[in-house]
Amino acid sequence: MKQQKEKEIDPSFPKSVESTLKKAEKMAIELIKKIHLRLNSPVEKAADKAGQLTTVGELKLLFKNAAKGEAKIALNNIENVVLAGLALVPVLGEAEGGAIAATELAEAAVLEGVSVEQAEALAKGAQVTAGAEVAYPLSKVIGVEGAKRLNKVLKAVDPYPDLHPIIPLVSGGAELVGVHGAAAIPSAAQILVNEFKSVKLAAETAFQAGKIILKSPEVRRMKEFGSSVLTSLGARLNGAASPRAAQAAQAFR
Amino acid sequence: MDKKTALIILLENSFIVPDKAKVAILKQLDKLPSAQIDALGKLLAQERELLLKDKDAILKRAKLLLDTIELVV
Repeated sequence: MKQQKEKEIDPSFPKSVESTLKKAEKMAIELIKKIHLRLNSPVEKAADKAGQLTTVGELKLLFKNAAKGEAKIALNNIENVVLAGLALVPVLGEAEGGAIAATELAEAAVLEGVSVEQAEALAKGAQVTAGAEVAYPLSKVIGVEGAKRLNKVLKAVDPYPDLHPIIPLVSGGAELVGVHGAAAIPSAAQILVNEFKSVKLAAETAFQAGKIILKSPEVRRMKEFGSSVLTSLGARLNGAASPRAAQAAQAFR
Repeated sequence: MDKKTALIILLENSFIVPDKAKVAILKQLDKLPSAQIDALGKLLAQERELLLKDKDAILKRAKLLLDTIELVV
């Protein structure tokens, strides 16, 4: 999609300032393009998915069926949840220099069979618990990419001084995340914040020096995207904070 | 609340489990050994704690995105 923009620079500025303006403007445009590329397309896909109700529809139905007779699940925010989930993946993936398509992530999230004989299971890396049950590493349950995503999400909300104790607590081992050298992965969110700060700085420089106006449907789309992400994040966080979720979490303490 | 129900609720709000995996987990919920349900539940409970703990920071970072975009619109 072609980006349409209009530029207005006050002609009365000295040439030295104009040069700075142009540089700042160029920086801002390049960063906007990058942000657009990694945000806009996946959002469209996510929106399409929500509209077509493929995975989303299946998920909604499964949540509904799973809840029958056991719990009443509020389904109002499912689309928002999926939208935010799909949207965040490419953001984090791109930020760390490795573009990870949402579809690849989804395909890679394979749930291993759980009814194999213990010997076969052991050969596949499973563990046998004290109760003689076969237990696969959690990365097998949520998929390798799901585990990577976990790692990214955890790192994205750095700093987490208690991150390392949590992993062994939950998994009993480093297999949980399925990614070695987790600590070496920089915070994706921090990278994004840094980039956004650069954009902000460039824009502020331009505003201080004079007047630059960029008008673009693409930018407006990004703004709308930002609003939807914020809404989805808020909905998800509110869901996590609900008494129902608190009660659910309590079941695993 | 039994653990399967609790898992469903936590799964619904999870960021970290991809949707395809959610589908797979829900489809096989009755077949999952209790150890797996427990491990997944503990993970999601931890995720919930982290989300709540850094709720403000997460929203702040998201808002920064909006603020930045608004600067150049």
